[in-house]
This record gives sequence, C-alpha cells and structure tokens, in this order.
Amino acid sequence: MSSFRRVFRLALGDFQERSKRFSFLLTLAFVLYAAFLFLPPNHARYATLQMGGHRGIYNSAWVGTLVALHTAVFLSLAGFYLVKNGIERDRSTGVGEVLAGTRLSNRQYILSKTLSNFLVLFAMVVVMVVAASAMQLVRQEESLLRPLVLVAPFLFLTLPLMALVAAVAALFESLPWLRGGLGNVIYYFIWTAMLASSAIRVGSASSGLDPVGFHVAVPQMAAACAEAFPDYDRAHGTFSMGFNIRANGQTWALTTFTWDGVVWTWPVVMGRFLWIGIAFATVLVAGLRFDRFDPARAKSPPRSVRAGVKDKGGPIDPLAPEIAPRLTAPASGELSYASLTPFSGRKRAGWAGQTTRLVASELGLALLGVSRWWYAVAAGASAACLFAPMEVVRAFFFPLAWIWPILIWSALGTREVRYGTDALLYSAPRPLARQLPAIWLAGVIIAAATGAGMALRLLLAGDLASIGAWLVGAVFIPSFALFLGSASGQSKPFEILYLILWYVGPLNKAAFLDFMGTTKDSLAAGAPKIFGLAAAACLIGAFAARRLRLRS
Amino acid sequence: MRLEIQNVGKRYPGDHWGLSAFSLALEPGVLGLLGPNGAGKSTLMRILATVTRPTEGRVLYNGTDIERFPDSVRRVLGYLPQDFGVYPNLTAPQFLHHLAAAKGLNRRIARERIEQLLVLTNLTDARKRALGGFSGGMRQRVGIAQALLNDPEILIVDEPTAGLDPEERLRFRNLLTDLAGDRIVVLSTHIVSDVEATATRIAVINQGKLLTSAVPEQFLRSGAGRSWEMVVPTSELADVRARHMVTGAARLSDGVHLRVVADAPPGHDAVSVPPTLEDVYLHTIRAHRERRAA
Repeated sequence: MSSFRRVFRLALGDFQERSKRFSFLLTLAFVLYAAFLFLPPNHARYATLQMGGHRGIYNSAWVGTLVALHTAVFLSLAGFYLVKNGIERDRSTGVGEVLAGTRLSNRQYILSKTLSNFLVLFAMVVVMVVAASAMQLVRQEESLLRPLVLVAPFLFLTLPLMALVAAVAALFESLPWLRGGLGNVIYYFIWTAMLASSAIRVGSASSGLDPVGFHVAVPQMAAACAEAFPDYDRAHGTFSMGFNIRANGQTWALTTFTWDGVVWTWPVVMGRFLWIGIAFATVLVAGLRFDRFDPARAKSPPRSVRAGVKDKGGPIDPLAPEIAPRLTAPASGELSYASLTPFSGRKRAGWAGQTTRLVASELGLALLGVSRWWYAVAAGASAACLFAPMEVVRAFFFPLAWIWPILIWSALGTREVRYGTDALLYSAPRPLARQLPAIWLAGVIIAAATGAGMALRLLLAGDLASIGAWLVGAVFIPSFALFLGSASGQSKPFEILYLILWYVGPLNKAAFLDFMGTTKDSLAAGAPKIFGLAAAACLIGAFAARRLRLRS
Repeated sequence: MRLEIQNVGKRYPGDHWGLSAFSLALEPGVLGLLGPNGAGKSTLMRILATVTRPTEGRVLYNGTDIERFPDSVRRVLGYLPQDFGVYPNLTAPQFLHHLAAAKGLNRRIARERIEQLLVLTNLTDARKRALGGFSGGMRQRVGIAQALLNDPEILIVDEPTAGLDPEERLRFRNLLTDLAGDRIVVLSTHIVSDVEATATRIAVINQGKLLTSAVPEQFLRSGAGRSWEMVVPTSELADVRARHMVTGAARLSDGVHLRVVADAPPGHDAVSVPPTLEDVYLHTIRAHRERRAA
C-alpha cells in the first residue's frame, strides 16, 4: 500500500470513529444553530457585521463571506479543542503502542492525525455551508442562490485556516508540555493574538499575518459600502464583526447595499493556500518531536517522587520496634494476613477527623507535582496584591492570582475518571456526602490561599463590598470547576470556559462577567450576586452529576 | 454474616442483559465465580460492590438492602475491580493513604496497616517509586493492598491474579486462604486453578445466568463418569477434536495423550478417569450453550 493511501485510510478510520462520538454530533447541532445566529434579520437586537450602520444585502456573496469569516473565527477556537484529543486517545486506549510497532513513520502518523482533525473540521464547515444556503433562502433578501459564490469564501478563507488548526492541534499533542491543560491555556492566548493580528490590519494595505482572511474580504466589502453610501469612509470607517448589541436593548436598523463578492485573483488564492503550506510545515515539526508512544520518552516524574517523597507523617520502618511485634512471621518465613494490625471496620475516625483528613489528602493530591516556580509566582502575585498600587492590582495582579491555579482547579471532579480510580473511591463509604465536599473544599482553599494578598488588602482598607465579591469569587471558581469536571469527566471544558470568562470579565472589565469584582462597575452591576447564585447552582449541579454517575 | 443476591438483573443500553434473574446466598468462605469472558461476572461484582445498581432484584447484607443503604456494605467492603487506575505521580504509600482517607480509616491504624500491607504484597522495595512506573503485576498488588486496607468483612476481587507472575499468584492464593475464615470472599476469575486452590464454594455463570452453585466436592461429583483419557495417533487428533471436547493434550512417543470430556467413551481404548474442576466447568458451559442453541 502506498504511503499516501496508508495515511488516508488511517485518517478515514480515525474520522469515522470520531464522527460516532456524541460530542461530534453535539458540535454539529451547535454549528447549525450558529449559522442561524450569524445571519440575524434586519431589526434584530444584535448585528454580526456592520459598517457604519450599513451591511450587505443577504445575497450568496455576503452570506457566504459573512458566515465563512465567523466560522473561521469560531472553529479556530472551538474546533481546536474539539480535535485536540486524537493522539491522546490512541495513547490512553493502547492503540498507539500497537501502531508504534508497525512500519508507519512518525511523519505519516502525525499527517494521518492532522488529516483526521481536518476531516472533522471540514464536516463542520460543510454543515455550515448547507445551513448558510438555507438561511439565505429563509431571509429572502435575495432569492437567487449562487452556489459557487457562496462556497468560495469557505474554500479560500475558512478551510486553509482549518488545515492550520488541524496541524497545530497535532503539534500540541506531540509536545509533552503542550499536551495537557497548559497547552489549552496557551492556545487560547495564541488565538486571541491571532485575532488581534488579523483585526488591526483591516483596511491597511497588506498583511502577511492574517490567517482568518479579514484582509482579503473586508476591504472589498468596505469599497462596495463606500460606493453605495458615499458618507462611509472606506479607509477609516467603522467596521464591526461579532455579536454587536446596542445599548438599552435597542434594535438595529442597518441600511443595505449590494455586494457581489470577493474577486478571487491568483495572488489572493495563493496567499490563502500559503496557510496550508504552513500547516504542512507544522506537521513536519510535529513528526520530529513526536515520542511515538514510548513511555521512556515521557515526562519524568515530578521532583517529589524522584526524590522519594515522605509519606504523610513520615516514613515508617515496617520492622521498627513498635510494629515489628505484629509482623511475627509465620513458619514459612512470610508475613501472614492474621499478623496485621486488626481493624475490622470498627476503629474509624470521627466525622470531623475523617473530613479534615480527606480534605488534606485531596489538597495534597491537587498540589502534587507542582513545581517551586509555581509557588513562587503564586506567592509573588499574592504579595503584589498586598503592596502594588490598587489600580494595577485590580487590572493585573489579582486576575493573575486567580488564573494561575487554573490547571489545578480544572482537575477537580475529573481525577477519578481520568485515572480510573472511580470504582475504588465510589465503593468507599459516603462518596457523595464526604468525598465531593472534600474535593470542593480543597479547591476553595487554593482560591483563598492564592487570593490571600488581595483579601488582606481589602480587609485593611475596610472595603466590605469588595471582600464580599472576593468571597464569592473564591467559592465560585472551584464550584464552577467541580461542576464542569463532574458533569463532563474532563478538565478541558473548565480550562476553556474559565479562560474566556476570566478574559472577558475581570481582565477586559465586562461588568456582568467580572466574577472577581475587580471594579466598582461590576459591584454596581450586581456581579457578586449573579456569581453567588451561579456558584450555588454549580454546586448543586456537581452533586447531581456525581450522583448520576454513582447511580449508573 | 450473610449476603443474599435475590433475582438480580442488569440491563445495559441496547436491551442487553448482562445479568438476569441471578440468585445466590453467600456466607463466610471463598466463593469462586467461574465463567467465560462476558459471562456477567464483573457486572455481578460491581453490583455487590455498590458501584453499579441492579435494574431489578436486590442484594441484602445481613438483611439490609445495599442499594438503598450502600454504606452498610461500603463500611466493611474491600473491592478490587478488574480494571482500575492509579494516580501515576503518587507512590504506593501515598496512594494507599489517600484511599484510607476516603474510606474514613483511623489515621494511626491506617499508617500501620499500610506499612504492613506493603510488606504483605511485597512492595516495600518499590515504596518510593511513583506508581506510573509500576509494572502491571505491581499495580495489581497495590490494588490488592488497597482492598485489604480496612480489614474487610466482604472482599470482592475481580480477576485478581491477572498480570501476576507465578510466585505472586501463589502468594495471593495463600493470602485468600488466610482470609477465608470469617469473612465473605468473592473471587471472580476464568482461571480454574485459582478457584481450585482457594474456593470453598463454586458458582458457574454464563450469559448472565447462574448455571450451578455447589461446594467443590459436589461440583466434581456432578461430572463423574464424563472424563476420559485416551491415546491417539497425531493424524486422528483433528477428528477427535471435531467430535469431542478435548480438555488436555500431551504429545508423547506413543502418540497424543488426550483428556476428553464426553457422556460416552470417546474411543474403544478410552479409560474413565476422575474429573477435574476444569473438566466439569467446561462441560457445564458447553452444555448450557448447546441447550440455548437447541
């Protein structure tokens, strides 16, 4: 079998397996809904693309380009997290080791995974194309459907970016330090940087760093707008893409113009296909760094384990005088069960003792393997919250203090499923009433410890409203993590959603979403109340999800 | 001490019954639960361990319904699932301490028992190594140690000897014999010799149904008159295999020495021999399959 056929068949098999997963079908359903959202009627409360109060009429060119651009933005984030698990799945199921024993080269394997990633994203884009066509007919602003004009933006704008996303996902999975939660966090920042790099060049002469393709489409849209509405300044006029909501719930009344679509010249097309070339280069790099499922090349155990960490309470010598008498060896020279310290389920710790011990154990588990650098940064952020100017603290150090433990929180509620210890733990007494609160409390303690500097500062200032907001934040974060972890069994949903919430709320000061209460606006907007209720709902949800698992 | 399984059934998605109308009463001793892969052994074990809830029927521990009051069993339970994981960055003592905390064990006693269990399961030399670097057999021994943490009254072990080397397997069998006295031990396996060495009662399960339950002597008696030994030339081996259930074969200079399970003598020179547990087990499973097929 030729190399290409082998790669293609592997990718196809992988795609077929993925396409049968519930998460794939769920994402397809969401894609359909997104297509509906991307094309609002003219007097909706939001607009998805407007230029100084104007937009193109919903013909095939405008619909295709508008939906293709939004799809590129949306799928370059959500799609990455959706497909970044192909190699991990082979690793966890053991299929990877079987493949590693075949003639398949690293490059072929990574290429097949990239192709499979791309096929998943391609399927989403196809659904989006069909949905966009249907929406054009539903909106009825222009009934003539021109398939080629509608498809072209998906082909030249969306798909090259999807190829890049597919390759980057494979690259992240090939590098041990980007494989887990840290990779998820880093990609989010790469994605925001990519959007920023694309967006600031809209209207400029040319751009090499425009993976989404804004620069290809938007200047031509702006030119048509300026032709129809001479008051619109095509060089400096306003352009807004995304979900634009007007103040006080007012509806939009956008005036429309006709735009016939992007003129696809060879240089434009080749410029777009350059991203596919970059995707191939990424695959080559990933192939070089891939460990081929060799456990010996995996990350070395954390320092504490390498050094032989002391058990809680210090190591015990089984032959120490206080224990040795109980270990009287039988005639065979081996220890017998009868000589063990008796227990028989009667000598249990009291409720408080049991819970304290379990919380301490969960806390130790959460922090196991965390490096000294992690503690140094956490302590530094907390100290800075105490001493730096309040404005800088609210804008930077406090948000940093509560984003830093994201990978620790994201493991809450997922560890048992991820490592397969669920059957051991769920068969222990009171898995719901004692184990789950212990996990949650460990998360709250981490939030309180990393935010301690800010709490002390607020206490000293006597700012009771902000202290209340701080408390809500410290409770909300682990509650949110525990809910998403318990419901999904995965850490990824929290890592993504918490990052977005943190980025939009505390960092970019969206008052309603500021769960840390970093500004007076967010306190005035009632954010602490909202997130207090959300924390309670998350806790109830976490208990319900765990209960469901226990009753399965 | 009594564990009663009353008409228990478990339905999985797709209307597949992993277990159906299963009834059995367990008292102190080792129950060897034998059955082929997919017979429903693990489903039953998970139900007894309160990890899975039955679709129908109930399980009573000393008269208490364990579905309604799972902690009545969990307090006195040691459970070793067939597939279980460990936290790869923890050492064996750390992992056992965590599970001891989850089980609510007294800290001082837990410390002592953990050290002793590490000796008992031959893991003291590896006590400072992360579990992620353990072999399958070592991991299995950690599993055995955690099941014994609370000195359980009920011990449920699902394929416990999987991955153990012969020496460790022998150690584990001895351990089970040690344990059997005043507690209920349920040992699920498809390795007949494990059951032969330890069980005080044998139950055979296939396709979710209990086929038989008896003490070993009774079980062996039920197969009397069906085990045969005979010698055939190599050329006739395929023919005998096609017609009869061959449970053992050894190639020697005078031909192939066969052990055959059959209702009537499989050949004119066949000699009747006492049945082994494996003979009776294989015959029970085949007879059940043939009855269902008919």
